Amino acid sequence: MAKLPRYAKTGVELAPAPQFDYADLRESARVGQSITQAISRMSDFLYRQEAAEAEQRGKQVVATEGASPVLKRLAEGGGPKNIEERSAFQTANRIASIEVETQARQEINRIVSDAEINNTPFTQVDAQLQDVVDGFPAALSDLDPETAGILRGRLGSLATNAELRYSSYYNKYQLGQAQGKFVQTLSTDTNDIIMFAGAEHGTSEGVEEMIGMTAQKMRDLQIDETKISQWIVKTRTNAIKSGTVAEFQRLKTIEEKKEYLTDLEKSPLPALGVIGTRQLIKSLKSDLTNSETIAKKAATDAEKDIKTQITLLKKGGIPSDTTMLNLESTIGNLGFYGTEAKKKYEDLDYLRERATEFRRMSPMTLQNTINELSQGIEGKGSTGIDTELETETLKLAEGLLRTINTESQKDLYSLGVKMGLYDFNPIDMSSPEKLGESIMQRRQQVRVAAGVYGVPPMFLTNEEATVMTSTLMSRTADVATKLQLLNSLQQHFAEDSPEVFGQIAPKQPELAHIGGLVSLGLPSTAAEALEGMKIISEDYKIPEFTPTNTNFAFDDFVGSAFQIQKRARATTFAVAKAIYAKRAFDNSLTEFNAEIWTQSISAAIGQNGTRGGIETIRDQKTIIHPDLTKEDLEYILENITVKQFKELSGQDVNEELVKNINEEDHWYLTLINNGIYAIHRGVPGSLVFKKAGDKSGNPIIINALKFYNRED
Amino acid sequence: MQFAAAAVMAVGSIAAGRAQKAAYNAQAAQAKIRGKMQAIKYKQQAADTMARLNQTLASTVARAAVGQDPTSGSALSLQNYALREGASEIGTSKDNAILSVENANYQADIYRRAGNAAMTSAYINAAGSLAGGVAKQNQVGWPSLSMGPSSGQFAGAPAGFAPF
Repeated sequence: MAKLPRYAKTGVELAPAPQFDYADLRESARVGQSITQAISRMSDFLYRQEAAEAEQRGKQVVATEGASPVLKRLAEGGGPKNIEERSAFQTANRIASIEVETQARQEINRIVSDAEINNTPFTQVDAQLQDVVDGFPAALSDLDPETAGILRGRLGSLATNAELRYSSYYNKYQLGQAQGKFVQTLSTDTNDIIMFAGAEHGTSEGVEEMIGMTAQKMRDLQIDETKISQWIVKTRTNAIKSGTVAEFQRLKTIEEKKEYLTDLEKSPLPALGVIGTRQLIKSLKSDLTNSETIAKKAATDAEKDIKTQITLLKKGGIPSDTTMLNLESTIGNLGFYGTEAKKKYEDLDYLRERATEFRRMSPMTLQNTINELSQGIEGKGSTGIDTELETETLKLAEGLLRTINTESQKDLYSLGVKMGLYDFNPIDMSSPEKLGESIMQRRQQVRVAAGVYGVPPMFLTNEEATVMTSTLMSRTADVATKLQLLNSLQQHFAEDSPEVFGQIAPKQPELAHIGGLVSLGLPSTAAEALEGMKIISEDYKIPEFTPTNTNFAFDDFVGSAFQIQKRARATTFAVAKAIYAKRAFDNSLTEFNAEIWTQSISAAIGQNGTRGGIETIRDQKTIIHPDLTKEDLEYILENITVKQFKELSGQDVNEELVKNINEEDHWYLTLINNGIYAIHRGVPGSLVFKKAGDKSGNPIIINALKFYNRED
Repeated sequence: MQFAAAAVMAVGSIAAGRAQKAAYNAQAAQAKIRGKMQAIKYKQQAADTMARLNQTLASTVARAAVGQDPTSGSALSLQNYALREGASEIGTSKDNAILSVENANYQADIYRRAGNAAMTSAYINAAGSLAGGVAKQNQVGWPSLSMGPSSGQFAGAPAGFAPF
């Protein structure tokens, strides 16, 4: 039987899950990506924008605050943390780096420049540059390490370059120094060789030895051999010339020199050759001629100098020892040409000795000496004045006598200095001590001069007296200064002060009078007078100070007190006027005041309370010393004895005369000096006027202060 | 210049977007056609399976008619088997045809959305390019403004410094 057919499967299956292309998702993703990218770009842009701004801000901070403070602040904050800080940090780093480098460059350049100016040793400069390199890293501590490292490297490089630069300079400098020293040494050596050749003990062997030593020294200094050879030849030639010239000059006479040159012509020096020797001879001949001319000229000059010194001697001067030695030395070197000058020098020496002797003689002794000289000088020619020296000596003595007679009257102290009695001792007013010392020495010196020349002492030089007068009369100097000067003179010249004031007197009599008031112990009166003189000099017009108002009162007050001292009378009037001016000024007087005028006259005379002034004694106006009274003087006149005259003034007075003086009122006293009175009778100029005299005919002098033991 | 370049880039970007969208649309159309073609194929397969089933059933009936009881157990079971299996395969083919169309439509939708997205992306890129161009032009300065004395960007430079 046939088999039933069976359904055969076709194998249909469910279609597999399709593979979709999710393009939308992909595109969506791309959209998202695009958005992201766009946003990212914007973000990036904004970031860059803000970063740029932050960087700018950072730079601005550095620009505003400076690199170093910013770096320091960042370092304190633990370093830069954002763009702004990083920008500031980087900028500050760059700037600080440049600043430090610039400073370092400047410092290095300064060191090198200073070193070049001062030629500082290289080792010192090296140390200074190293200090710069070592010192600046401290300034780099706040920088970033890389910049600091680079900067250190640069500084090192700069320092090295500077070292090299200075090294080059210093080497040149040292070379120059060495050359300079060498030139100096060579010059000295050369001079030594030439001087040795010219010396009396110089030998050619010695010269060669010295040349060899110096040449070796030059070789040691690596001098070019050509130059050494040139130097040897030149030095040897000069040494031979020097030796020859010296030998020539050592010859004493011109004849010897001429002979020497003749020999030299015959035997030329091998080292110089014939031509060189001729040139040398020519030069020496010229020297010889010059020597002759010079010697003649020097002899003439010496004679002129001697003549000048003799003139000086006649005028009171004295040639100094130095001058005499110089003349002697000059003449000694002239040899033959100085024969005449030597004779004149001997005459000068004699005259100088005689002048020294004459200068210390009194005029009388000198006059006697002149009389002796007129008879001739023993040992000089025959009897009488028959030689030039005798004539000169006589003229010298006569000239000195004239000088002494004239100068002793004008300026005794200066004459003493001029005549060599003492050295000049200026009055030193720099301190009271020095003033005292110098015045004490001056008084001693003037007394010596006064003793030698037999004249009254004059303690000031003309110049000093003029200066003091000027000071006292100065319109600008104050009264205190003037008074101090008067006080000082009075204090230090003591009993000699009247002579000092007297020396000022001829120049300004009222000043001497004021000085006298100081001497009398009346400084306030003196000050009043000085102030009065000052205000008068300043054109103060004294109210109604007319002759009518003043002269009668003055004449009435002083009467005949100044009858033999007319000059003192005028001076007293001038001082009284000055005192009155001061008092009128102080009292603002508008018209003449007779009472104050009388008081002023009294003050000018030296009245001090009840003492001094002018009083009427035996019907005569008499000046009373301020340490005395009217009664004191009346007592003297009435009671003085012969014995007291002898004790007080050493005068022998006739007893009858003394008795007459005691009893007769027509004898009166006249003040002639400080407390010293003369005794007169009658009116001066009249027939009855008479001066009381001692047995020798000298006027009787009574020292009233001594009488009462009131002398200082 | 920066802005001009950016504008050109934006235009280019939009053009590219449009092209891309067109491409996606074409792909969508193609996907639909492919789906329909696949559905037809599956429908043909179902028809073939139906034919095969009919052939099997006819053969079984014919055999039974010649001697065998077609309703006997074995013939019937063979008929049932053929019907079950054949129907299953026909149904599968029909399902496959429907799925092919559905899948194609789905794919086409995807491509259309992708096209839209590409367009969107193009607009975004164009906008980005324009914005970038403006920004860059701002950086270098606008030609007409940079000639003036007060137009510089420095006028707007940071005036102060904010502390760190």
